[in-house]
Amino acid sequence: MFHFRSDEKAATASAWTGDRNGLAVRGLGVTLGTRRILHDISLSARVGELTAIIGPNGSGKSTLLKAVTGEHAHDGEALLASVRVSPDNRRRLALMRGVLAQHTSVAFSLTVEEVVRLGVSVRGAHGPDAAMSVAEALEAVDLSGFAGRDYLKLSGGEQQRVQLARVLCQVGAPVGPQGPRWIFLDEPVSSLDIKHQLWVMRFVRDFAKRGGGVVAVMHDLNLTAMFADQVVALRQGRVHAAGTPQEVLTRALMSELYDCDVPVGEAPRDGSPFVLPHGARVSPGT
Amino acid sequence: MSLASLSAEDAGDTPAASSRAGHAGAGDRRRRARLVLLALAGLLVVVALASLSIGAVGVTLGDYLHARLFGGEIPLRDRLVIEVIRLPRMVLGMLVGAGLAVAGAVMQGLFRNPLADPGLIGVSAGSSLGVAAFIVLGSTVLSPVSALLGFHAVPLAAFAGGLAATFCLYRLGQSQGQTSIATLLLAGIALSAIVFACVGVLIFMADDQQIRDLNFWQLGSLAGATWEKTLAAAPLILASLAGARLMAGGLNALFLGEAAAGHMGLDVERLKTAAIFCVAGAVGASVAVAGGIGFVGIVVPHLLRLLMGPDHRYLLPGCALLGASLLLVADTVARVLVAPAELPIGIVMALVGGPFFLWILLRRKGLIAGV
Repeated sequence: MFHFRSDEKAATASAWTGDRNGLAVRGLGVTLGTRRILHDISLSARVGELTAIIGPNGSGKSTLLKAVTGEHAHDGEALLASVRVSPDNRRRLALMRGVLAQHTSVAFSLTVEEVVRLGVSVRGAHGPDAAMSVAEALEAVDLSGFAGRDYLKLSGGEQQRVQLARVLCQVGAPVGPQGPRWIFLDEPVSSLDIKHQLWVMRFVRDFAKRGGGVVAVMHDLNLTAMFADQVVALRQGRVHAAGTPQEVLTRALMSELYDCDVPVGEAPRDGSPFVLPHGARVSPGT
Repeated sequence: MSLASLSAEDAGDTPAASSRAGHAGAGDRRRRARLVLLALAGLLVVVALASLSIGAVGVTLGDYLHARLFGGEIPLRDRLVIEVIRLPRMVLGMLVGAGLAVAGAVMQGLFRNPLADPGLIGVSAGSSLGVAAFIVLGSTVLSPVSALLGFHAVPLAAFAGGLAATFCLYRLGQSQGQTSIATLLLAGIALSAIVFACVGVLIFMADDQQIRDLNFWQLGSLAGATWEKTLAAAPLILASLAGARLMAGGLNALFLGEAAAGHMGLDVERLKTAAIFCVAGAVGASVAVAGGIGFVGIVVPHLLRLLMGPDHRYLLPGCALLGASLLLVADTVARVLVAPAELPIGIVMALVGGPFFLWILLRRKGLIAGV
């Protein structure tokens, strides 16, 4: 475990990533109970890019996302725009990034608007650094007109989009007065229909293109290939490979990663990789 | 600091924002919540005046007020009935009702479960052990403590007992950020059993007068309310009410669970600790002065969530107002039903609250099955 003074931390971060605004993770490990889930993870994610984290079930993707968003305690180092990810910085971090979990349960019967407004409350609705308005956020997730609906009566996919709208409200613009903002997403589209998978992925990629940063845990390799700028592949709690989709999403690497034959083709339109698992062989085991 | 910043906002509360958001939404609910609060305040005034006028002895409140405000003759007996008997009792009833209802709402927000009631899950039991210890041992083993704290000793003992119980419950009922109401209820049963065993030991040691005191106090009653009792309970209850109001924004963030609330910048651990102190303070002080009055903490928040939605910024003040009114009504009923004798208010509340609780269960069976 490292203990740096804050100015040293900042210096280390910029030396490491060459990007003071980025997410810099070095030597990060997470132990839950007695189990070591993540070992010696190092990676960097840049603003302007969508970084996808992929890997088989149990490889530690969600744990990694929870560690770099401060939900799980970690050893090693995780800096977001030179701010150390730790409970002491929770308020600062809340203004820099939003986090969408895989599932968010809502305890009482709230309307959609009330749920989304909780995101607004982090930043406030007024002033130069104001949050995105509830209406804008609902529009961004294709739920205009849902404001008055009972959240608990929505479908799973709709609930997930409401939660994304809430996160968008918290995050506000891709770039704020204090610098770029970040969105961390844990399987944001796995419960969505294909239209809204594309809708949401386009929105978050656009968020990155406009100067924000996006880190998303992804299961769908095709969406990853289509939308990610950088792919980090985890296997058994370690970084197995990292690079552009073209570099990482290869048949050899994917077959190794998922321990199963994963045929990868090249999309005719732009040459980006795609996975077509027809006829793939699956063997039992790990 | 994050508590304050989360509660300070009233985001998008402008008419423009509401209309942009599509009319039917939470804006209407907030407007309705404000109306409900106004109505509840009016109700409390009416109920309070009624509770001063109604009783075994016929006193005309108008005559009394006229005499006090503009000078005039009023029989000494009537003056004493109002000032020494009914007024402290009214104030105490309002404090206890507000405290119990708000404690219920805070606890439900903290545990993220609308069935978490301080009475049901053993917080009141913890407090009652503190009180019983003082009733029986106050003049012997604990006499240095009572000498030091004076009439604050019993409420503080109840506070300590409630605090211990709430911390235990939190440790037991919480796993990975989720609360299982089944675990909570079972833990509450176990805690209550332990407490009653301890109270049993105290009863075994008590003399006849102490047993009578214990017994009557356990039934729950505002009878014997004095200004001294009221002053003893007031600081803890008022502090808890104020603390609860400061937590409203944080409790709202907890709607989404501890992880999401943390991501939104809330210091969840601090909020939890503050909420536990708040619940123990309000319940402890109430139990100390009024004994076991059940169901206020579940009936009032539940009704208000139906009326105004779960937003704690409105729910908590609403609970204070409606809780106070409910207890005054129950107390007035308890006083007049078998006048000149009176029923313990705990019995009245159980007769009203018990069936209400069963009705909630019938409506929302999934609440227990689901978690």
